[in-house]
Amino acid sequence: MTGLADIRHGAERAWDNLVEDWKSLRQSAAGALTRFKSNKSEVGTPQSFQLGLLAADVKESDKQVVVKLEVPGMEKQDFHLTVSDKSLVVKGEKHSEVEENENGYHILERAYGSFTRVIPLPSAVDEETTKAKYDKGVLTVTMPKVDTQAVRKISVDG
Amino acid sequence: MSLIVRHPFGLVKQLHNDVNQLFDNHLSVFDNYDLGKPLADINPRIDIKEDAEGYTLMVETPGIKPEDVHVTIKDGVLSIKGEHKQEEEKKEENYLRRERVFGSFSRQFSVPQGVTDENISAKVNHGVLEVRIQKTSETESRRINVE
Repeated sequence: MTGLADIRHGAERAWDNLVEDWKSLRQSAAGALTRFKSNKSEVGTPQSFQLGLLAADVKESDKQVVVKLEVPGMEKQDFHLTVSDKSLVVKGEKHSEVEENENGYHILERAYGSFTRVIPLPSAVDEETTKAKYDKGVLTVTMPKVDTQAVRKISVDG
Repeated sequence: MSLIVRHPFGLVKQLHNDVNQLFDNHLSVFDNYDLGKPLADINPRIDIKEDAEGYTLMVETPGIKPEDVHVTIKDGVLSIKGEHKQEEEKKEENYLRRERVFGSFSRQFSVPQGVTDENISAKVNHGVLEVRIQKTSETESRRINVE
């Protein structure tokens, strides 16, 4: 019986590991999974979409919040960024000849079309002085924090 | 040949022992590999397109410096290796979200006969590595005249 018990035990352990790995993957990458909508829309057919991974890092210091988003193969004029209600909204469109013609492609792993990724921010930021840079396929958005501390400091006289 | 009926679980135990023995005795070839380590940290997405003059490989390498990408060809195998290096961290900054993956990747492709490094060019644009392979006269299938 030990053989069967061992197999069961081994299988259970493998399953547990898989579940744990899947959980941690979901936690770390679920936000990165972004829907790319194809721009090619034909009447009567549902709009097709692909899933792409747009991985983001969010860093915070006393003065600012910096978001780095991996979006390779874009043109900088095809980004549309907005800041609203403590979140950064990155919209964009990745153009490609693939959308016109898929002939000749042996492997197609990259995603194309329009996408929206909403990244929550830890505090209110100043949209006016926000700066964005696109370099080596990484979009870096630097957002100075709005000084909310000043509002709270009310001195009591007497 | 006689059929011996054993305890029903005997068969499972036998299988278990056999598999164990297989790993212990015959698969020592795996000893050279660290099986706990994934083959690559990152798995870049790739498009491969063929046209009349050649092949184009588009590899997504966001954040990777061009000097950290290596494209080589040897014995008919095109190899693309790269490393996404971690940026220096400042102490006063605090990570709230970390989805980007740093580390190395490696992908290999077999190329048609006759392709040498002279037929290959590579460039990086907006985080996308583009490798162009020109077809040579040897690459194209030769038409044989039927007499």
